[in-house]
Amino acid sequence: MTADDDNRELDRYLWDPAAEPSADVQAVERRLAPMRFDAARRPLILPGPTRSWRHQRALLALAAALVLVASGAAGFWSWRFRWPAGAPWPLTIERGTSPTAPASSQLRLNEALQLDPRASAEVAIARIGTMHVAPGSALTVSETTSRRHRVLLQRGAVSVRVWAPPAAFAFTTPAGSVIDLGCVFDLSVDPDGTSRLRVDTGWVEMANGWGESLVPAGASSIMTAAARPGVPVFDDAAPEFAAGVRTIERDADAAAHNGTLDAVLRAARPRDVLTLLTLTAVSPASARRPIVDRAAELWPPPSTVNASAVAGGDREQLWRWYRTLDLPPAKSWWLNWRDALPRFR
Amino acid sequence: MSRQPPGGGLIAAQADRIVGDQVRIVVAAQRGDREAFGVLYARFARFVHAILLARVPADVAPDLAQDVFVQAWTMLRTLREPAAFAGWIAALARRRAIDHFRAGRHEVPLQDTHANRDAPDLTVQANEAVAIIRDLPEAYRETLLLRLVEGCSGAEIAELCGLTPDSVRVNLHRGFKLLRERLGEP
Repeated sequence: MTADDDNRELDRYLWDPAAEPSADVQAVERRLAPMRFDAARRPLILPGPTRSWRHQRALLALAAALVLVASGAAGFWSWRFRWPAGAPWPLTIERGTSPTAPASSQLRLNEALQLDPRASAEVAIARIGTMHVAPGSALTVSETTSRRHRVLLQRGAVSVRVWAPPAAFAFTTPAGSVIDLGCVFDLSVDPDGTSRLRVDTGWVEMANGWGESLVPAGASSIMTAAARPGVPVFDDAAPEFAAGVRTIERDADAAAHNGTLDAVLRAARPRDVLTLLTLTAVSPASARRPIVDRAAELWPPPSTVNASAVAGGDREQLWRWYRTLDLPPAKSWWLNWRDALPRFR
Repeated sequence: MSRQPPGGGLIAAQADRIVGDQVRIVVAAQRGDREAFGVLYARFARFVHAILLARVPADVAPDLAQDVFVQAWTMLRTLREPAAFAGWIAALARRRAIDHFRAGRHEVPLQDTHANRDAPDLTVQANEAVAIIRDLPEAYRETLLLRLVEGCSGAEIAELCGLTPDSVRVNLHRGFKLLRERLGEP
């Protein structure tokens, strides 16, 4: 056999292992044989079932969307509450039926806004809300920072829409403070300095040197400089109930004698237990017993509360009972998220 | 001049059937069929092992080959063209070899089932021969390992590596000639 024949045989065998073997190639094959991979002797252990690719992509897309929404919300949140200290608030004066166009301007810190009887105004409360100022009102922005915004309302009426943490925004009135707890409300100050509050959503606190009162959505209250803030009364309560409650607040003993207290208790509904319990807290001992008894009929206290103890002035038991009422928590301001949306008048 | 051998039409038809069969298996595996993936493992394990053997120490190549298939199982749904499975898994194997060196993993497995314990000198000789192949020009390495270690035919090598049969013939011829010289054989 010639060298060429050898080479042809070698090439044939290199190309096709089933061909006539070449001794040279076989020698190398034998030498390399220990390296051969034997799949049969090395079974593959696969991980558990995986989600379909489409499912994974859907999950990824959902996660990405959530991250996007969360980062957008965080950015909006931060932007909404950030406000340079002392920066003016955007202001639009509306001249009522006047043919002149509304003038856009700014409401500066410590600069009084005094509206004539024909003019109203729309004020942006930094970025946390808006305030419609009724004709004839007078107010001044006394403080504005990222955390606190304060307005002095000397007279007139405002409709406020704020979505912010409790006490970020508040009014000072001649009768005391009106503190936003994250909500929509109307506030007016009479010529004699009496503040009148009506709450649409959330809660508002009225406070002065005599005490404080928490007013929930759907309720109203009043405040004068000469007495503690009035208890909240729901707007849908019977007129004799609403009027009688104010009489009791002024003089509970007299109201007990002239029949006003009885009329109030007769007109009370389960929803009015809020008013009755708050009234209990501010009434003298002589008037508490019938109020507590009626409240217990309309909204029985929990087993851990003793009505007699409440009538005896036990504040801790009173508030335990109060917390069983069907009302949203006063500090859950973020639940009123709709108040963050633009207001359509 | 036609390069097609007599009866080439039949061979081409058979090749089409094989490719079609492989595509079906890959698609089934993509849908989570473990048995189908087992067929792919049986068919391509030697190919992947040869690619790794051309790059990493012989004692770790089998484990890495299995790693490549586990990775392929988890990523198989990302393979858009089932007919390109061979090239795809070859790319995974080459990347796995690079990762092995990047991670600085040079430890020896506790149990080397690949070694021939009855004749350790044979394993040493085999390692030496693989080391020599690794020193050959790149074009010859995988081709020679597929043929001389894994026992693939030239036609299989051409199909697996995406080379023309002529290129494989040349690589086998020249590569083997060089190998024989370096092994010191006549």
